[in-house]
Amino acid sequence: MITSFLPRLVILALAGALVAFGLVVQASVSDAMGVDLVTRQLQWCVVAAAAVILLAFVPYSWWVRHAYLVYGGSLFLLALVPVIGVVRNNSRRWLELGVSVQPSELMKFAFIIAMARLLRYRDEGSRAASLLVPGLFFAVPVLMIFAQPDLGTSLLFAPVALAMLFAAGLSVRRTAAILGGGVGFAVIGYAFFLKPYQQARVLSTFFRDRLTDADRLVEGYQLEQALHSVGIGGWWGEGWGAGAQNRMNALPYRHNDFIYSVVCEEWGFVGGLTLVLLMFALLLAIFRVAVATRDPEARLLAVGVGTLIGTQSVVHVGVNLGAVPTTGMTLPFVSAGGTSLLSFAFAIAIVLNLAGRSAFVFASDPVREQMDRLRRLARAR
Amino acid sequence: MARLNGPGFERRASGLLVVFAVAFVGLLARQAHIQFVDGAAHRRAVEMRMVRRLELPARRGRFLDRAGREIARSTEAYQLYVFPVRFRETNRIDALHDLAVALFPERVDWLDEEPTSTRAEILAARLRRFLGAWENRADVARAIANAPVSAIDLDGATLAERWGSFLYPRGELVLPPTHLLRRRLLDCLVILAQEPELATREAVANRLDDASTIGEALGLDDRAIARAVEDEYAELEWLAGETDGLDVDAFLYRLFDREEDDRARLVRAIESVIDDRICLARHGTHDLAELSSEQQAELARELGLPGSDDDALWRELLRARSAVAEGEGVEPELQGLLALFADVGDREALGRSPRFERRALARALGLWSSDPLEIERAVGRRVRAEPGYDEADYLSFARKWSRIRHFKGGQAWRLGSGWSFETADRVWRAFGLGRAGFEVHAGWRRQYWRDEEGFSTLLIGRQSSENEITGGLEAALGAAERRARADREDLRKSDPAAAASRAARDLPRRGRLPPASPSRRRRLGDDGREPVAAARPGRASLHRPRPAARGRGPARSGRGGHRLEPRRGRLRDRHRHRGDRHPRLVRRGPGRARVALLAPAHRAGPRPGFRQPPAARGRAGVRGGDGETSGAPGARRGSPLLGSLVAVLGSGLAAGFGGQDLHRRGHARGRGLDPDRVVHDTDKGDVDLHQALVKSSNEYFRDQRHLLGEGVLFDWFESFGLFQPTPHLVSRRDGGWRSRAARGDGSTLNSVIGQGSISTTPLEIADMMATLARRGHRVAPRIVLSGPGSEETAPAGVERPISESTWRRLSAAMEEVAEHYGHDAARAVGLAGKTGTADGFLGTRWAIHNQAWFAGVFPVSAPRYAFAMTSLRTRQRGKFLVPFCVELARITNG
Repeated sequence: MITSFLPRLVILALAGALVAFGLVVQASVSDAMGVDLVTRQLQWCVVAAAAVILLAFVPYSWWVRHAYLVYGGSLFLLALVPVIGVVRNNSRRWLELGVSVQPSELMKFAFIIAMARLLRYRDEGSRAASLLVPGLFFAVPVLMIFAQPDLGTSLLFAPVALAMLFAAGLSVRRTAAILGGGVGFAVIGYAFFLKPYQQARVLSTFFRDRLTDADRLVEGYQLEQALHSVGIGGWWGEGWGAGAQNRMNALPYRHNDFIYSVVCEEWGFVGGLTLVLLMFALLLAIFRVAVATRDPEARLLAVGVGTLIGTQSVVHVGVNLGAVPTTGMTLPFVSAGGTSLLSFAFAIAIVLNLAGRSAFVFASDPVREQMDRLRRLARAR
Repeated sequence: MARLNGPGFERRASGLLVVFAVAFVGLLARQAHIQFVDGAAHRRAVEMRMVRRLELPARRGRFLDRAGREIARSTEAYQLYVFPVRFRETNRIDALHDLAVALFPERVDWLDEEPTSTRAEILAARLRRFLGAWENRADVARAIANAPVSAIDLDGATLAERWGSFLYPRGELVLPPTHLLRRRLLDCLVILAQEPELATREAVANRLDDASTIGEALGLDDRAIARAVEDEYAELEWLAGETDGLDVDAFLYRLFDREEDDRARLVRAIESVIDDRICLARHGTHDLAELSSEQQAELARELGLPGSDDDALWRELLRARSAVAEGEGVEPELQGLLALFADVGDREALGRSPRFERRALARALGLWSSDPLEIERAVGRRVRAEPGYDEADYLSFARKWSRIRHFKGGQAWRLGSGWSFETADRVWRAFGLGRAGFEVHAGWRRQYWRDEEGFSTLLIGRQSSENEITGGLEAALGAAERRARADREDLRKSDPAAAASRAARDLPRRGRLPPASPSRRRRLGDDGREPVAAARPGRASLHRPRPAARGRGPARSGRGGHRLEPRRGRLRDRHRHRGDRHPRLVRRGPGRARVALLAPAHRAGPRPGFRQPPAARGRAGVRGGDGETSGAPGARRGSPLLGSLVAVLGSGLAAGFGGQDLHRRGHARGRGLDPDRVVHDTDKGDVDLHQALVKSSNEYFRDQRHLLGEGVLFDWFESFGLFQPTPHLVSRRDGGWRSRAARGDGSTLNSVIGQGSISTTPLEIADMMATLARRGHRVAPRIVLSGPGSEETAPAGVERPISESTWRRLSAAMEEVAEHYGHDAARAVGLAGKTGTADGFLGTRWAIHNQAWFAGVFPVSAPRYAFAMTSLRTRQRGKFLVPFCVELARITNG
């Protein structure tokens, strides 16, 4: 069996490094908060590692084969949320099924798998009508998640869908048109669909200079504290466990949604740069897997997973730096939280499976063409 | 399909990667901007919230105009703030209770733990718990003292198992079965131990390792524990009598709330205090918002509330509180405490719930929505629409409103204001508020005759890494206690009858007890943390020199301790001529001995000739900002500031421009002093005095200092106004020679600038400049024309004449300095001055050159005004201030 060991090792090492980085930062936060986050996160790490090991042996084609089932199941769980969901932090996002489950997190990957299945044999550059079905696949879960309300997660689907469409052959012109339409829709959505507190968040981010000190404490409190945390970091930071903002518990949710601020505060610009480089290296490795494999669905899966990780990272860092309106978005592999870690472990397991099988199954074009032909024949019968 | 398998895919994938790369680069650029361009501003903002401040008043008395009419008057206004996020439970009864429940669940009958459902019952149960702890103190204390150490070493699971049947609502101690539990129990031991050495969990844990029983580990027997409980109970009673009418919300919070977890920031903490009174915890939460409408309705039904929405629950809180306040279900002797609780709900505790407040305000404004933004807009509209609308009022309201709604961790919570110093002191100390995160903000409210008001902020205390407040805070409060003690002593001597009456009044009795129990006084006063410096100039008792070291026992050993005795000897020798003005020995912080010399508060005239003791000469050295003598190992880096200071006062003046005695001294040392002498190869090249002043040459002045000797310099420093604290003007002006150890705690920050071994104040520097401009004739500053106990007589001048040529040389150099940084504008107003820098203490470390000053005179041709302007924490050099001084001169000159 031909395997590509090195890419998998690189991906595993990068993901592991990010997790380790996160644990070190959480140890500092944990000490300041007086809550043992590290032990809890370590427990989740063990679970996530087990999940990676198990799922890495599940052929990705199995997921793709059952893509619509997974997608439908996730939709069903999403539909259950308004009925039996649990309210936390003024949002109804969770299901209590023995353990707390957040269906929107499951939906992210179900969506990627379903889109990979949907787009694998389509040439998206040919007809505008071909966007109708993918658009439906996109719109239904996004609207359901938006209604929870979870604006951040729902918006995350857009770049993933667009990247997968683009990778599947959507023309640059149409991609640009969709992007433009998205911007226009965002403006309309801001005026008509966003709730007042969401509008205030947007305003407090992009028009921060116009706010009075009192307003900054009202609407932009987290952003203000995050910027303070980042600002005092300097080149090398305040030192591990010595961040003033961290010790003062000035920044809420810094163990998950604002962990990058803690990194910048205690490890400075160098720490932030290291984290960003690690994250980008992971993206690079995932996209290399996408290029190395020849199977369309595998390529789409890798692009989807990579885009999801990349987008979430960019949004998280952007929120922490005041470049993106505040929204609760974890930093993949680094932030505290079992659901987040487990879901990204699942993503990494899929990519590892892709990386392990690409060289074997789709080593050459003749093999691929032969398999395509066989598939078409089977479908025709 | 074709795209997916062709080379196009690789290009598209690369394109996506480039998009991410661009995004990351953009974000990193943004981060660099925040950290390197805006970094200083962010740091200042954080420090403003971080640094623990003690604001000491500058007692300024009355300000009069030349006709004797009153222009402004100062009145006291102290405030107590609490930072709830740093709040820590120090209630000994609670500690005792938690220990008892954790260690001896079978003896829960010691404490009343009946299940309760309504808020009134819970409140009553908690009050009974206080009483129960007090009544059973002997049994509980004995049991805890004799409990084996292994009882506290149980792992989390075992403790949780033992604890299982006492979880909320039956028990009061609700903690997850993790290490938090053990931490809480260690905290309880810390609270009960009351020893300075056992102030941390680690210290207690280490003791536990070496002991067999908890009592042995804590060094306490059951009587001592019981006594601690009695103290606590007595203090609670004292508070009940003492704080009547004050804002006691924080007190309730302290009684009822527990150590916070990660989500227990202030809003939630307060909500939980309120919520658990209506048993929200039975639903696994302390947040009403987490309950579904069905659960809320069910809860409302369980509580027998009319209506089923959550508003009914809030209204129930009001009703329950009112019922308890009227005495329902509470023993008569606890009515005093109930009066306190009655103040809480209506006014503050309930109002601090953002949701309730929001709804109430929305209704008051006639809004359907309780969305914060809508409310704020509505308030803004309404305020603006009113006749006589004032923007300042609106902003003030908005700020207050935001504080209520978003009561985040770092926001200060004002416990009370407008108190006298003694009241603030008593409340602060009686409850160990220093350990609990409270701080005293003492300011000075100026009431001008035009009804203008201001509030000054002066000095800072700080919190060590061990969560101990050291520095100015305890120092000032301790000083108040010493003052009170001295006053009592004076009274006893002068009027025994009045003293006896006062003592009788201070006797402990129900509802009114002395401000601090003996144990607390032990903790605050006699643990080696002797306060430094007088807190309130202007008080007669402060100006009476007292040998502070008397009766305090030997100096503690520890860091720097071995150097204490020689220092003390030198200081006494140096000041022997001052008669009753002994050098003041200051010890601060356990294990650290420090020495500081306070210059005399007042001098009637030039003291007799002073000569440095031979033993000290050349060894202690002047570690000015610009360097160190050869005998000062480990001295700090240099700065032009004190170099020029030394130059102006020491070398420059003494270098023969009329100071004949200095000539003689210089000759006595075998070296002549020549102002035209050029020192070669300095840090600024070959320089004479003029060049050295203009260029701030450190090495030139060091050279001159070696020629003169430090004793001569010290003599001249005093002659020209340095280290001459001026009563009634600025508090804590403890300038002077400071040992290396003595400057380590930041207590001289803000009102004292300086560096290395020299600390001085802006006023003293201005005094120095004025003396220079008067050609050596010094008149002590007397801004206060009328103050308590002061006389309206001009102090005698001190003559240390300098010649016209000396002044011309100095003023020419200073003029050049001012012109260099102030250009034509400085020349136009006749500004002459000298720049300088100094160190400041930034919370945890000394920062180099983050403070600066510029001092001088104007107009230089015929000086009328002397000034000293400082810039604190700006990391700017003195030249930064020159334009401000130019403007000052322009305004003053009209």
